[in-house]
Amino acid sequence: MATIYLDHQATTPMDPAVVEAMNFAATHCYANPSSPHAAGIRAFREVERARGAVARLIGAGRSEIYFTSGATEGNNLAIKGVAARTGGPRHVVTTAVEHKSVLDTCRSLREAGHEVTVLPVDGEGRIDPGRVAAALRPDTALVSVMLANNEISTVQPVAEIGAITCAAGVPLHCDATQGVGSLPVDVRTLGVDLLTFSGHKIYGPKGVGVLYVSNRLSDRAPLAPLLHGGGQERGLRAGTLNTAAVIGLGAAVGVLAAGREEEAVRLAGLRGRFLTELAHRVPYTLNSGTGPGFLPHAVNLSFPDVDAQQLLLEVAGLAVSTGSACNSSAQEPSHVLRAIGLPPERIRGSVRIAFGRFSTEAEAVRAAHALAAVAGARPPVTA
Amino acid sequence: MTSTTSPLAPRGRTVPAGRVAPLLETVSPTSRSALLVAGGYFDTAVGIGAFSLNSFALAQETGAAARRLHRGNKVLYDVIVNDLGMSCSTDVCTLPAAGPAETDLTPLTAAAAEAGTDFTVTRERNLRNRAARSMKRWLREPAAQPLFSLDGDEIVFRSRQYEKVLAGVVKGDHVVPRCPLIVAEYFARYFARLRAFPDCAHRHVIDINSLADRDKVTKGAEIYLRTLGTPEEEIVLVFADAACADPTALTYTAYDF
Repeated sequence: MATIYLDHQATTPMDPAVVEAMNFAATHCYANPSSPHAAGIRAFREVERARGAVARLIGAGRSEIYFTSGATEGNNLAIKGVAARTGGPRHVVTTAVEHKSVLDTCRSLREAGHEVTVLPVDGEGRIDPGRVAAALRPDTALVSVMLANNEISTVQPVAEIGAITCAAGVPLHCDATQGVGSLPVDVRTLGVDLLTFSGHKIYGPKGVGVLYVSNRLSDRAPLAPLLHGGGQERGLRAGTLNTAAVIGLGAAVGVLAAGREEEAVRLAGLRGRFLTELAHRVPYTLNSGTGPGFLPHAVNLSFPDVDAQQLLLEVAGLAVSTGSACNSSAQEPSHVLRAIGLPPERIRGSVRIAFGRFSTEAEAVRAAHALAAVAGARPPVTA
Repeated sequence: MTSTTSPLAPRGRTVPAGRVAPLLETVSPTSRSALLVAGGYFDTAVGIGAFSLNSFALAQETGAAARRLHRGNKVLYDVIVNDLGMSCSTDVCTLPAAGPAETDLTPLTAAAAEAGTDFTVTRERNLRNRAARSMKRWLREPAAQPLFSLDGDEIVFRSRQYEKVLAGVVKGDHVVPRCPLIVAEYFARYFARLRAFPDCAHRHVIDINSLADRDKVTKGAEIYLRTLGTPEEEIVLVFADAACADPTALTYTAYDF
């Protein structure tokens, strides 16, 4: 039996349209898009079409889109690039539930002499905009708040925070990696100056991502690049573009834009069916919300007296996660689940399930049955 | 077997077939547009060669297809003539006006007559002098256009595509315009001509260039669109080799910057 893949917050399979676009790129756009000959200009044209598709998706201008190797590089470039563009130590504000690529970047800034304020969240993992306002200082260089959480799906009040940072004249960075596939994203409405996401979370290829930098910010003072070399991406990100991946990302964005709202409704339905099936068979506790203010396709839950890592070893043919996949090798409890105040036993029993474009109702039911069969048969965990 | 059509190209609309298809991808088939197609470029020092003849033919073919796309479309043709007689980076301030009969245009006029069209000629010498005058006006009142700045004796355009765009060099009381500024000048003239058709909802300049001119015309397009462009204006930069058999089009609007 084929694996039921329900780990779409870790990564997504490529859409067939993306595979087709990348095949086209591999055979027709292999030239360096910076080259002056016809083949190079054709590759450049396709890259710019992809850039235009990304720009339209998030309501930006084409000149505000920079291609990176993924959200991790984008987050590093956004945060370090803003901090470094003005001389001397500065202050950065972020939240306790950000992805590690944001938190660890902030940690590196702290080690370099900058000050970092990490704001706590409430029991749902949501940041209070009032706390952001209170944390701002005259030397605050940046606020970084994610759009939606990768473990508990909480959607942050980014637009409210954007209004606060705009009024204070402080740039706002938003890691939209988890939200851009499910939520409408408009950089003007959100009030963000920097926004990042990766291709592989929206059925595109791995190894490519997007950094949006508002012209308002760039025109004042450009970000300091992390990579130096050939001056690609208007000097902000040197290195020959990964043309095939960029074109694949453009195709992924096109598919996404065509049906995001309907798909969100469908996925919320699958999640509901899964939870209903599960509830009939085994007790569990939700660690994330399933209503407005949460991503529609994912859920985080805990089975009582169950070690989730052990549980997943015993469930055949099911791909789910016990926390952030990026963090799963860390051998320590999830920083997100700790930040929302979950006790260690709940964290130990937590499972993250995320449905996706190719998930079916039959798979949702089978997954619930498979998890329940093992979780219900487990002996209690001893501390 | 993979498709030879770009998966990112606009879908779901009727476009002309063949080599002109990418040049007209963004021209509306449902509302009237005014188009100026610039092809046939040549250098007076060299004369009308293969690129000039082939790009002129491509321009004629493009214009004819644009007319078929919508019966109300207005199409103008122009040929840019490099009569500077030198590299545009040469430090010469102003040039005497071009003489009227220094170039034999017969091959182009014959081709136009065969196609039943006519065309205008734009001389780079005139463009250069106009660009120099506009930069001198800017020097007197720099606040009027903050996208230019003076860096020593260099006039630099604050680009959103390139790290640096040199627009001109100040030499005493004179300004020597550089290529991007001369290009922006002809876009300004072209769009001014297209504004004579107020019933056309969109204005397109389709500019057929040799591959070697990619950067300077792209910089010039940005200068025009960010300083004088309006939302209904679009520049289609076309790049082709001497045969013009497989042209590549890049489309720019003010929104892109």
